[in-house]
Amino acid sequence: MKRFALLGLPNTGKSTVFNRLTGMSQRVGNWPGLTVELTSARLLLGGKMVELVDLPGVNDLTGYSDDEAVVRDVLMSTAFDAAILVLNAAQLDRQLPLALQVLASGIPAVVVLNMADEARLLGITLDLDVLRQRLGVPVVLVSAKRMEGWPALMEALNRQAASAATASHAQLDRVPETQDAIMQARAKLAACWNLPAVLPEGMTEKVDAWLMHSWLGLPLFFACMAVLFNLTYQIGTPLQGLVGDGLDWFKTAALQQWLAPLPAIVQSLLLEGVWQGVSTVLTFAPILFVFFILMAMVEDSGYLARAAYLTDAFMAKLGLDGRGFVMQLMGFGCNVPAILGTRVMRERKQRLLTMLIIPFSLCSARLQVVVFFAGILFTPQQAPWVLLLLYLLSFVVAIFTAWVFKHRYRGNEAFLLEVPPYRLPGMRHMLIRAVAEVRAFLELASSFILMGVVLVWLVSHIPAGDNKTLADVLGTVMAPVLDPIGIKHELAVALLVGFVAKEILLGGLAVIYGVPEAGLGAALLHHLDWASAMSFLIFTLVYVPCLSTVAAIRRESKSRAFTALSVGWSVLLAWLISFAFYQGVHLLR
Amino acid sequence: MLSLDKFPPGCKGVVDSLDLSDEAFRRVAAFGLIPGSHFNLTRCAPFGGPLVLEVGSTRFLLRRSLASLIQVRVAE
Repeated sequence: MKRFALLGLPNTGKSTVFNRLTGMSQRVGNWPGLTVELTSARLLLGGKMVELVDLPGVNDLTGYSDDEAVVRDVLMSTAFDAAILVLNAAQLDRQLPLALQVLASGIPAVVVLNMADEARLLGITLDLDVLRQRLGVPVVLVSAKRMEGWPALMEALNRQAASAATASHAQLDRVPETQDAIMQARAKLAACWNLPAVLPEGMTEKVDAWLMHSWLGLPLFFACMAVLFNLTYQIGTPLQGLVGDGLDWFKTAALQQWLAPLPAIVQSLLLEGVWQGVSTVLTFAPILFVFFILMAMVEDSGYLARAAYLTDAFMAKLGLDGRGFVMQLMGFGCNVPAILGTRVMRERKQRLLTMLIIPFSLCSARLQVVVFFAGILFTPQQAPWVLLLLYLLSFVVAIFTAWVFKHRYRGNEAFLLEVPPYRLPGMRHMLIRAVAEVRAFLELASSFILMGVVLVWLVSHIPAGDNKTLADVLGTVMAPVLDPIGIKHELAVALLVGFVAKEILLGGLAVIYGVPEAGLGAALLHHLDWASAMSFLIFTLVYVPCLSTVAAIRRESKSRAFTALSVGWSVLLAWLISFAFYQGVHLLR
Repeated sequence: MLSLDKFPPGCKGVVDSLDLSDEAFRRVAAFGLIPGSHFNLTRCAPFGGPLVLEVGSTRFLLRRSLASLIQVRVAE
């Protein structure tokens, strides 16, 4: 089988080209020998099977960024038959240097000049034949979005795949340095690629006059985020409900009957353990799917760069960049997609710092718990203010975390981000991407969450003598930690349940007090005093949001140590804040 | 000659020199900002936020802290 690499700068429509060529057949997987995930797909070109590997977008083959290192590692460790180089035809002045670096490395290449439509609109003139001659490789002009120039591209690719040459490793020592490559590119482009002296003013400038306005920009940004946020839940939550109902129906209509012949303890393990885990993971799928579609819209339309522009002043002080703010806000809906969404940040340290603060966003599952507690502990007049205070608490904790860790995960000051012209996102492209993302998440989370749910089941069902279970023992063992923050021993297992998912926390509490969920409020008031109930609530808000978030952090950081840090830090903070609150209340009394 | 963060928005300029580390220089160069290149400073975000620059047909944002290390002059 032949192997082709897809290379290009960020924002050149490289993944659109990839999707157009491969469709739904793509898969995300670990690259052998390296700890990176790459998307690849197989397609038939020139009568041969070709594996096309989508490499991360890079500016410079000799650069220091994480993505640049990944591309170098892959090119060095793997032999490729050809590179497909995707460049933005409207920006050849800054994009051709990368092409020259790739050509110098000795890998046969096909140069694809994408965004022909935008170049035309800008009045750019291009002599394709001269450029082809000067580069000595096939050059085609396309618009991947409109499938313009596609026959020529397919012909070039077919010819490349049919060639008898054997695959070769890139010779990176032959790659020219940045400045040399820029000078060479200038010479190659002289008199064959021309930008008009004055660029025509288009839609983008008119829209930006509003969206990037000095004082209207931010309110419009928050309005956009509010719409986005609402759409995610207006569309996602009913879908989530449907999936949940479907799964429940399956459980009562089929599963329970099938399992009926089994001993009660096995039934309980399968239903309350395994099945609970499966359904927890599956109910995430609709919301993730909707989120990825909407996020792709924000990113592909070019708005994300505007959002970064507007919020960067504030985020830079926290050691973050403007894109982190968008993710932090999305976290208020659900932390899991927000963590996965940090992928738009290509710098590892920035991503890690952002991933560290997202779990403090008060997500909709925790909101349920907060609303419930606020409802029983406070009067209807007080409750909304308590809710607001808790939202503020989550912001303060996030900012504090960023402040503590900003030196450790210091981002690069040399933060540059392209502000692309506004583009209509392609529907097909978004769908393909969302499906791939959701699938990749489910594959990982299923095993992770299943383990967690089964563990909780075991703890609360394994007998430990005296009519007690491990859960009771756990409460006693944890007493030195729980007593100073006023959390009753029987709630230790509730915290464990909340660790798996906040959605099942209230149900867990009802089981602990042996009441139906409707009677939970009264039961809690009976068993807990005001201060310890609030302390429990604060702890619930600040510590680990759920196992799915932990799974997402593990997947995205690819580091156990970082995942442990994230979990440990949030538990520690939760304990400290609850401690300060509970002891403070006692001092005041 | 003045540093880019002091450059008047809406004006065109030429890069004189970049006092940057090798790594930062590569990043900036990837957006076409090298000595002698022409640019257009299109806007500046409020509260000390980033600048938006246009080099050729590429528009991008960069932080003021980085801009202060880039010496430029107004284009005639």
